[in-house]
Amino acid sequence: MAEIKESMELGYYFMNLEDKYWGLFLISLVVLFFLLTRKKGFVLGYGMLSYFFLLCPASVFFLVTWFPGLSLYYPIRWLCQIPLFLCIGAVLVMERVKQEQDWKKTLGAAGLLVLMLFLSGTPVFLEENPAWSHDSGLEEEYVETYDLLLADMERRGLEKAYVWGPKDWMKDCRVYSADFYPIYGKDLWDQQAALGYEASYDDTLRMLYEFYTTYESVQGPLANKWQQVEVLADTLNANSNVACDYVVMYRGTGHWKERGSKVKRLENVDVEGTFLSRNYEAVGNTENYYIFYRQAGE
Amino acid sequence: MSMIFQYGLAFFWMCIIPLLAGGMFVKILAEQKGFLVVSAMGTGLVLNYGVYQIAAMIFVLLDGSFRLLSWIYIGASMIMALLGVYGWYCYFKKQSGSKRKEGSGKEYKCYKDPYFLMGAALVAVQVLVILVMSTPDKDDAFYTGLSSMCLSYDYVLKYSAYDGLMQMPIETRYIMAALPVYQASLSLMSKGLHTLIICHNLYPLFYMPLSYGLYCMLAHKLTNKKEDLGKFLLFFAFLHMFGNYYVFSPENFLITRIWQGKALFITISLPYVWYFMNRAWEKESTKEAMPYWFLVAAGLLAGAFMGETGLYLNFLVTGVSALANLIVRGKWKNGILAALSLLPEVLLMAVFLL
Repeated sequence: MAEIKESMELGYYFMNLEDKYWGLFLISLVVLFFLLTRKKGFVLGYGMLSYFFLLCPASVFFLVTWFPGLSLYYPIRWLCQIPLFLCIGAVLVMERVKQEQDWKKTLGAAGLLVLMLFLSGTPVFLEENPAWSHDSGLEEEYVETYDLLLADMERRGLEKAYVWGPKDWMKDCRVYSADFYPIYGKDLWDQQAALGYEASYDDTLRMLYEFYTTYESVQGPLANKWQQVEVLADTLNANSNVACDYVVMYRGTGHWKERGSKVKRLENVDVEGTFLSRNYEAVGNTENYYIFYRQAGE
Repeated sequence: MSMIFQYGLAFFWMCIIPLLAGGMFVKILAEQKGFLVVSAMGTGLVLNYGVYQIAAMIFVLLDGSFRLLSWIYIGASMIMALLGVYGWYCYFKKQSGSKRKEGSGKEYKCYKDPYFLMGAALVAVQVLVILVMSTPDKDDAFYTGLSSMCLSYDYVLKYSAYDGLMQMPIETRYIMAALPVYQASLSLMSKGLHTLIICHNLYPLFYMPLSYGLYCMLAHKLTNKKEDLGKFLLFFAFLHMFGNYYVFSPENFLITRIWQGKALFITISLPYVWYFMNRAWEKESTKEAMPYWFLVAAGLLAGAFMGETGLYLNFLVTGVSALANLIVRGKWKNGILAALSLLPEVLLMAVFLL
């Protein structure tokens, strides 16, 4: 049913040309058809190819039925070679206009093409483009903490370290060094978790994940953050079976304030004292993070 | 100084070696005038990717060492490059031996077209902007993580990179694509240049122009008019700057994440396969078409190397193209060859999925 529904949605989408680019694409096909009528064979083959690359609802239906993975991970829409078709169409229009030997028409056609692109397109080089995910890059302060950890590992003679900390920090740590082992991975909270990956993690790790998520969350009650810090330290201590050498905690209220939360009482939380009183060892700190070392078996 | 040496090594492995390897097929690549460098580099690249994919699969099955895999790949790519050097030598010898026809070099005239120069300038600007704006993103947690793990623990696609706990086997769909391991090999072969630099800086720097070149080659094949090439490149490059209508659009793929398998598939493998499939279908006899089909098979294998996207979508691309060409041109024997070009992929899939 889901496949049929998706197919229908795509059909609807296609029929209504919700995306302006699809409209332009169709225009380019019409242009190609009229300007290349002498090469009928070429147009026919080209048209068929384009139709399939365009994702007709029927082909999508069969493909997602035969290869369910296609609809989940790799929408075949990625194949759509819209720019190629559009540009060939545009070139042919220019050529035809040029044949008229009227520079006004040539200039007008070029201007119209550029205008259409401006009106229909969305610039790639904009900060809003998710591809420029600056906020999820390797932040300078992350690198600072990773370096502190690596130095401490060297001092202790550790070749690798199991680490627990904020989501983004854990996500990026392995990019920085493969000697870091986050106790759970991005797949636990990623959308892929919906596909059953989370089954790979045991209940304890999932619990730790839930606790830390609650702690770093901007939503929900903020007044009891100090309790949550204690819970984190105690839960990890109580589960000695979880391999975890280092814990990274937020220092101060920067994390929450940056995300628009009006945290006040958190400033009173003594994160360092809470962890040190539970036999964790302070490794160091940066402006916004504390790093603690947890002795094996503590 | 050492950084320059590292970049030099990376350039050697990412550009020079593929270009030399492409010389193995220079005779047929030179048939379409004016695109020799682009088609040779594209061919060398897909051949290298194909070889790496097969070697990586064997190493995954045998639980082999990543470093040994890299050394074997170095050997194989050097052999291909040497064969290519011989091909280039023969080609240039023949060229210089034959009398230069009057007006030769005409095929490169279109590169002096103001439209082409403006298009090339736009591409250069895009590359520069990428070099400045490119940052690690969320996908690095897995892909670059995999490369880091290969380098640190000397294994090939065995465990998931997400947690690195060596307890979660990597999914089959990732085992089918060796690109992150290859990127780790590039890091090894460039004396430890970080995979993040290779992916986020060198891939766009080297392969964005290649991708534009392949698309120009394909457009030329489809329109068969070289004088339009400059306009095409200008429009194409311009359009790509306005392609953020969908985060996974081909335009976004080309500009923002060409280092990822799915993007590489759309921007390199797809135009390459599409182009050579058209060339193969044009040939009158099956014998004549055979080398082209070999290149198509290499391109398809390279698509599988780039990701599961390629593995699945290759069948669609081949099937659709074969169907259209069969209707337009007939030559049903080519249909069989098209199916056979998918054989390496089918064998790889059979090994892992059955």
